Amino acid sequence: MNDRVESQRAGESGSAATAEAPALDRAELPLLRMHCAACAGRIEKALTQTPGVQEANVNFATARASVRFDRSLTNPRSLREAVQEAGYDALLPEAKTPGASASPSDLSEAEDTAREAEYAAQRRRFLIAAALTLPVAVLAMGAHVIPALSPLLDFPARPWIELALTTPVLFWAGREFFLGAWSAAKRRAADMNTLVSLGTLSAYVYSVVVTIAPGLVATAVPDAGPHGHAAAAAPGVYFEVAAIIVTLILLGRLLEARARAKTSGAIRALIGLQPKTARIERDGVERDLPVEEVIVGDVVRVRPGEKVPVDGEVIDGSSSVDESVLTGEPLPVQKAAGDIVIGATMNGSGALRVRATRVGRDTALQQIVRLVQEAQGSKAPLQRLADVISGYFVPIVLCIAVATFAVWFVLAPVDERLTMALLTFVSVLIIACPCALGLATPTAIMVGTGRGAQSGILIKGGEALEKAHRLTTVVLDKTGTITQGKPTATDVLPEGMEADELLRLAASAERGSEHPIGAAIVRSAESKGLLLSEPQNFLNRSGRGLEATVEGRRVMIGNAGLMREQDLHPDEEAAGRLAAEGKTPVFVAVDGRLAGIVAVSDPLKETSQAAIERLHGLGLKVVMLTGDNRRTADAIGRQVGIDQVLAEVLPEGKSEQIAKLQANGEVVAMVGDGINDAPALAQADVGIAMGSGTDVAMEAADITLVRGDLNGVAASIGLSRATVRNIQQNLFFAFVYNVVGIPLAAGVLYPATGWLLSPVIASAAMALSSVSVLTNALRLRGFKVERS
Amino acid sequence: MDTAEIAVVVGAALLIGFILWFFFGAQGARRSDSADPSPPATKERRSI
Repeated sequence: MNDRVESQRAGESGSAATAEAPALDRAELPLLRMHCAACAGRIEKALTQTPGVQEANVNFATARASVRFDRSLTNPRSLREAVQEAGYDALLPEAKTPGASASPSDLSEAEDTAREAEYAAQRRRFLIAAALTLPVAVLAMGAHVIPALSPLLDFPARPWIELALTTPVLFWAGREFFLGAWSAAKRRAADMNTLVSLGTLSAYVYSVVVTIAPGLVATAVPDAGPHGHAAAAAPGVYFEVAAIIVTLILLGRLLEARARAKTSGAIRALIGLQPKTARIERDGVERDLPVEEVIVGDVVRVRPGEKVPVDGEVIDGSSSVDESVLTGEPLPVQKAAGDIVIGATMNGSGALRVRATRVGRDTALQQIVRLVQEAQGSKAPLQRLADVISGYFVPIVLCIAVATFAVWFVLAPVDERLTMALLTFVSVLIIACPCALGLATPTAIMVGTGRGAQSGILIKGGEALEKAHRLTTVVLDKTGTITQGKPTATDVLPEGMEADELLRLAASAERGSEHPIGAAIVRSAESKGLLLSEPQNFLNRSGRGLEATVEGRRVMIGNAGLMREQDLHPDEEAAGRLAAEGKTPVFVAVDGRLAGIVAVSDPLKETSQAAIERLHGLGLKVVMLTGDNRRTADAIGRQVGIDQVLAEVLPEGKSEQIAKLQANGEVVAMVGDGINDAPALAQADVGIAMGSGTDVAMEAADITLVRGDLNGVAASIGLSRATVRNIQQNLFFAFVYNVVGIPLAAGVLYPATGWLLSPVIASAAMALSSVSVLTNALRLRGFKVERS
Repeated sequence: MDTAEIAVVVGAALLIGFILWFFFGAQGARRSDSADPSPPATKERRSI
C-alpha cells in the first residue's frame, strides 16, 4: 500500500520537480508527550515545514510519525529537532550495527522503554503534585469541611504557604500545559493546554495579587471597605483551585496513558508474534540468523514446536501448522511439500524445510501489521464533524469564559463579584476541554480494528467501518465463497465417444484455463490417471467457455449459449437435470460436433449455511452472484438460504449487478475472493475479500478476512456496527458533556438554585470525561467474534 | 453600573473581539488545532 502511495506521489510531483528525482528516505519516529489528538496535527505541521520533508503523517493512535524526506537536505536528527521545537519528542531509529537500518523490533523495544520512562516520569510528576496539593487543599478547604479547624487553619502566613506549595505544582508539574499553550499561541492556535493554562493562571495570578498586594484587589472592590483589611486572609486566595486542577488533569492524563497503552495492545501483540531468529541452511551448513537477515530463496528449517520465521513454501517434510494467530482458525492445518506456510504461525509436531518466498516487510504478518496500523490511524467520516467543531471550539469557549466573567462581575453582589466572576471564568475554561471529543473516534477505531485483526478480520479504516454498519445487502460470489472453490467433475455424459476420452480431451483443452471449472476437470482427469496433451491455439471465450486444439482436434467447452452460437443443439434437458442437483454442466464439442456433457460440482463450505443465517440475523438481504446457469445457481441458493440469486452473470457484469442494487437504494457489500471479483469489490460500498492472508488482494478490499470462512462476513459487519455504535456513544458523550457542562460552569443554575460549579469539580469532570471515553472504547476488546 | 463594571464590560468586549480576530481573522486562518489535518479519506482502489 505504501508503494502505491509513493508511486502516486512521485507521479504527482513528477511534472513540477526536476527530472532527477531526489533520493527519498522514510523514517518511522515514535513520538513522545503526545496527549491530545490535536498534538498529531501540530507535529505533522512542524515536520511538513521542515526543509527536505516531502511527506509527513502522524498517527495519533500509534503515536508515530512516518516521514519521507530527502537525505541530502535533512536527516532523522533534524526531524527530531523539529518535533522537539513543536514541544514534543521523538525517538530516533538506531541500528545496533552502524550503517545498517534499524529493524522494527529494535525501534519497538526502544519505543517501549521510552514510553515506560515517559509514563514513570508522568507518574512521578503527578505524585509530587498530589503531595504538594494535599496540604494546600487542607489549608484552603479544611475549615469549610470541619469548621472546628477554622482557628487552627486561619493564620496570616497561610496564603504564603499555599503560594509556596502551589507554585511548583503549577510551573513544574504542570509546565507541559504552559509550554503547549505557548507553542499553540505562537501558531495562532488554541487547544486544551490553552484552556487549562488560562484557567489555572487566572486563579493563581489573582491569588498572588491578593497575597502580595491585597490593596490592589480592594480598589477593585470599592465596597469591600470594612472587610478589605481581611482580604489577605480567608476569602481572597484560590491557590487550591490552580493546584487541584493541575493535579487532577495530570491524574487524568496518567489514566489516559494507561488506557491508550491497552488500546494498542492488539498491534503490539501482532508485532510480538514475529520470531527473532531463523535456522537457515546456507552452503550446506545450518546456522541461526536474525530473521532480518533471511533472504528470499533461503532454505529455512522449522523444527517441531517452533514458529515459522518467514513466509515460504514447504519443500520437504510434513507437519500440522497452527495458523490461528493470523487467521483465527482454531484447527491446525496440515502442510506438506508444495504448501505455503505463513511466518509467525506455529509448527506442530513435524519438521519442515521451507524455501523463503517473502521476508522482512513483505511477509503476511508485516503486511497485516501495516494495514492495521494504517487503519488505526485513519479517520471515520464522523470524526470530520468532530474536527470541524473542535476547530472552532476552543476560541469560542474563551469568548464564553470572558463573557461569563463580565456578566457575573455586573450581576453578582459587589463584595462577591470579583471572586464569583473569577471562579465561573475558571470553571468554564476548565470544563470545556475538547479532549474527549478528540479521543472519541480514534480510540474506538483503534480498539475495533485491533480486535478484528486478532480474529483474522482486517478492516481498512474508519470509512470502511462506517459504511459496513449501514449495509443492507450482502452479495456473495458463489465459487470459493459459498462453495469450497475446489470443484470436481462428478458426471461425464458422452455422446459418440468413451467417457474417459471425453474427459481426457476436455481436460487437455482446459489445461490452458485458469477457470475453477477447468481446474476441476483437469484434476478429475489426472486423478483417473488419464494422459493429458498440451492444448494449442487456446482461445478464451470469457464467461462462456473456451476453445483449443488438442492432438489436432478442435475442442470447444462451454455453456449452451456458446454451443448454440456454433449451430449445435446441446441436450439442455440433461443439463437441466444436473443443474437442478446444484451441479454445473458444461458442454463439450469436438471438431464441430457435440461430444457430451461434463458436470462439475463444487461442494458447499460447511460453514456457509450457518453464516448466511447469521447475516439474516443481522437484518441483511443475502444475494448470490454467479456465472453459473440459473438452475444450478438456484439449487445452491436454496440449499444455503439465499434471498436472491443473480445467475449467468459474466465477470464484467458483476459490478453492473452491484450498481443495479445500489441504484435501488441498497448499501451493498460484495464478498469475493478478490481476484476475479476486483471490479465488483470496487463497485460495492464495502468490498470484502476472503483471502488466505498471503494475498495482496487485501489491498483492494475494505475488509479482508484472512481466513476463508463466510462466518467472518457476519462477524466483521457485527464488529463494524459495534465500533460505530461505540464511536457514536463516545461523540454523544463528549458533546453532551460540553453542552451541559459549560452552562453549568457558567452558573446558569445559580439564580434558581444558588448552585455554582466549583472549578475543582470542573477539573475532576474534565479528567473523567477523557477517561470514560477511553473506557467505553476499551469495551470493544470484549467483542465476541462468533465462529461456527 | 459603577466604573469598575463599565471597565470590565468594555474590556470583555474588546477581549472577545481580540480572540475572534486572533483565531479567525485573516492571519489567524489556522483557527485552533483540529484533531488531525489529514485530507479526507477517499475510497482508494487498485486493480489486482
